[in-house]
Amino acid sequence: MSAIAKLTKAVMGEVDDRFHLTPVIEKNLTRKWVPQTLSWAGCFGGLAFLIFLIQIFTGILLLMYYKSDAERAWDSVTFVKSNVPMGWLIQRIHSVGANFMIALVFLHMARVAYLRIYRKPRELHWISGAVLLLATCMLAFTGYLLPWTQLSYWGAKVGTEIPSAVPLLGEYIVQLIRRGPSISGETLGFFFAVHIWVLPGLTVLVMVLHFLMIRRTGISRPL
Amino acid sequence: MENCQCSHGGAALGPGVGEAAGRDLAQPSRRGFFHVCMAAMTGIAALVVAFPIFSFLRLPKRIHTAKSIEVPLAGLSESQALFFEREGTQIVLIYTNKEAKAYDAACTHLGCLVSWDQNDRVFRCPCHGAVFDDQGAAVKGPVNMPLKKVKLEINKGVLVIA
Ligand code: HEM
Ligand code: FES
Repeated sequence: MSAIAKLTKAVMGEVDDRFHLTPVIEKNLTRKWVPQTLSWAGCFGGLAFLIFLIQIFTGILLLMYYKSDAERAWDSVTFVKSNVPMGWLIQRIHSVGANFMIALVFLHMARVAYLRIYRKPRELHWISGAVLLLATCMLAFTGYLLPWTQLSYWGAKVGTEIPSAVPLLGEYIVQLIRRGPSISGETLGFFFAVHIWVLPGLTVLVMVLHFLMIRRTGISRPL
Repeated sequence: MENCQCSHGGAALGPGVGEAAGRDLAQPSRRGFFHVCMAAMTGIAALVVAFPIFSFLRLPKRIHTAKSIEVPLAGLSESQALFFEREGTQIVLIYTNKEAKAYDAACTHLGCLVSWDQNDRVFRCPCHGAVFDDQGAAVKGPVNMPLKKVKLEINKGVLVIA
């Protein structure tokens, strides 16, 4: 046994004497059986979750320098990309990760749809999953404005135009999400708050529900 | 099996694992070899992840635009102090008794920025009340080190802080 294994055992022994944790960990993680017929496509949901964790982590790193102010947002992101050691990498992982997360959520949904896993008793799994897809897209959309580039600006302009198709209330909704008649510093502040707090919070909440439901019903066994 | 600490713990393996594990006890080299490989790969992966994270937390290089400061002598007045930033330090420039003097504006006590009191012709520190005269010498307060002098040059009527 390696030194690390010995140390783990010694520490875990003391913990187990008090909390009996090892059986819980084994039951839920290390000795958790999955159907042998499960294909690699069953990993998409878990991979999307992994990318979400990476987004949270890299997002927190970016937050150390980001300024959600129209005057300084672009400079602050450029500073991270060109001056902070490895900043270019962290920034790139966060923006590429956003695309990967959306792709993985889509692939995950495609599998669930193709194998018809959404049927009873898993209807709410599907509905909460659809909420997660929406939240992921909104995270990517609000995050895209943050570097305050030309692309960000026009992306947000076009994106916020969409609700104008709603009858009667359309124009009002557009102004509401732009925090005014056009894309401005107010829009940036609003998108920032939504990107950093509202959507990650909502996403974590719905993910917890999603995972609890999966634990309750068990994963479906393909034939 | 019992001693195996790895998370794959046999769960992913099919029937016949028990026998293989039995053999492992007598002949541990193969499983041991895979354990070493796994540990090495995990270690390398951990380093690859940790390196950019720790790098990111290091101090970034700052961009300094104004390397040297130039002020026309005609622009100096006895009644006013000028403040400049150079490579992250604040510099204060005063003109008294027909002579220009520049100092690092950080108080030599704990580094607050001093201000120029033109009535009394002294620098006052807002933090703990240190007072320095126009030569930079400490005259009052919790400090006796003088303000740090900054070199000045006069070049064809233009004052240069290099
Ligand atoms: C929950 C934690 C998250 C935090 C704290 C966070 C934070 C940030 C910050 C500060 C920025 C601006 C800095 C920059 O662009 O370099 C940013 C940009 C961005 N974020 Fe996030 N983010 C999080 C999660 C996500 C998620 C889950 C997604 C998408 C699925 C996402 C997508 C984006 C995008 C697309 C950008 C623009 C990147 C660029 O073009 O530079 N973020 N995020
Ligand atoms: S820092 Fe100036 S008196 Fe203390």
